[in-house]
Amino acid sequence: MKGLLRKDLYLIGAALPLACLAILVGGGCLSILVSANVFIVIAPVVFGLMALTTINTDRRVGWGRLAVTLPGGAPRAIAGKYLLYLLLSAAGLLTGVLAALLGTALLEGFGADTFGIFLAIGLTLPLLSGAVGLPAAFLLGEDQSMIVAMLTYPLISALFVGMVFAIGSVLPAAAALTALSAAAFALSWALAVRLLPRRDVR
Amino acid sequence: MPQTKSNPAPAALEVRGLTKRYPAFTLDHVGLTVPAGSIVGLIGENGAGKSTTLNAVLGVVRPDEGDIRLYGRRQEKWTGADRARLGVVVDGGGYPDALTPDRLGRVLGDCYPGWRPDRYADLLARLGLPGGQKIKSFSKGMRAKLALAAAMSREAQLLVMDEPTSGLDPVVRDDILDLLLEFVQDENHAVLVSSHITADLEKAADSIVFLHGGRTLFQKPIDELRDRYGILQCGAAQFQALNKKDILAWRKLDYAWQVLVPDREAAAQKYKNAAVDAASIDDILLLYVKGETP
Repeated sequence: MKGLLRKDLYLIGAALPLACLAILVGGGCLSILVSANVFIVIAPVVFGLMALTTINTDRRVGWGRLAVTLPGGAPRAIAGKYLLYLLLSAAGLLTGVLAALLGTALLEGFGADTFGIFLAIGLTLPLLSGAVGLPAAFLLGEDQSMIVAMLTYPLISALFVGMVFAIGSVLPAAAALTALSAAAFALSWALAVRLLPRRDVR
Repeated sequence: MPQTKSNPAPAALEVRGLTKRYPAFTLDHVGLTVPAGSIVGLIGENGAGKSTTLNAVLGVVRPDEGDIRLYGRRQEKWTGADRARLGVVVDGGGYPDALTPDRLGRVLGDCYPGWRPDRYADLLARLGLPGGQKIKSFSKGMRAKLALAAAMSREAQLLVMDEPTSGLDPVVRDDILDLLLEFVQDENHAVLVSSHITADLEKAADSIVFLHGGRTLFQKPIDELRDRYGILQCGAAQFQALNKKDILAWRKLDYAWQVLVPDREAAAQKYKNAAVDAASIDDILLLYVKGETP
């Protein structure tokens, strides 16, 4: 697993400055318009997407074939991508939280409720998106899998609004959706490691 | 367990009845054996099933039927230690462009318990590969050499190579063949290599597996193909008079028939008016693919 993660981190390292710039520009503009808390949502999503792109890069260069022949076989190669996604999303969340705390302190003042809601969204979006996007990246072609990953974001937003209406309060709905997304990610990981190795490598 | 006549050492790779069905193509009960200490060449026209066969051996595609054994171990029971005995070289190398050979070495060192960094460094130096340069700047030949260096820097015993020399100049191809011959000096090592460049196989391979239309036509020692097979050229009347048992395949050209015979000396003796020449692997491939069989 260490070797697989190291390989992916080498790949991501090259794209990291651009991703950080995207977060800074996007988050900075939205901070002025909405709230600096948007960093908590944007950063983990961008970092998580970088993990998804490594699956397509692997397929393009033929590493996907090689990874199956490594001692850990296909299950470890798949688990490695889930772990990478989780680590990057966590790193993105941490970065986003730090940027949000700094931004709110400078621009608007810290609000615990708003921060809590954005934190829940910042956890939910990458987890639910990863639960769908990671298996899609293994199963579908490059373009299709990116479309699936993108489509998950509006769907999750709709789900979030639906939960708020169903429960009648924002914070409990956010907490429930966070728990649900964590469970969905864990289930996706367990099923992917079990079922995807039964298929031919694309 | 000691190896005796009644308990011979298992082949490096044994494939029996390998079948994979796709909507437009079926790999149909393919069989081949790669004895330890040997290089086996896999040939066939485009779409014959070479890559599917190699992918099934590597576990990249899952066979519908068949039995694949690596040093006697069934594929379904392979552990990490079994997979570590496989070295893989695919066309283009398969390594991300953003890596350098040095970084790739660190990645593979983490992946394989038997990784030998000293051996890898030696091979990079010997093959003239700069350790700190990104793979994206490498030529096709450099990528092929890197893939081979990576496969040979660990405890791999069977190298599986899919078109490793395609598109390479003769000098690089010769370097690669030298490395393969060096690799099989260890009698526990073996190589299964698919290639369209049959001249390379004639230089290095011990036997040839010929796939055609998803089936194994034959697996024969290269010496038998080179020293015994022949092409008999004859006219229409003579062709009609040939004993069908002497014919493996034939092809009608504008004014003559080309006939592949399994024993060119015997054919020359038997059919004195016909010209019988040695057959290259390309000749054999062409006659089977473009000609007819009895």
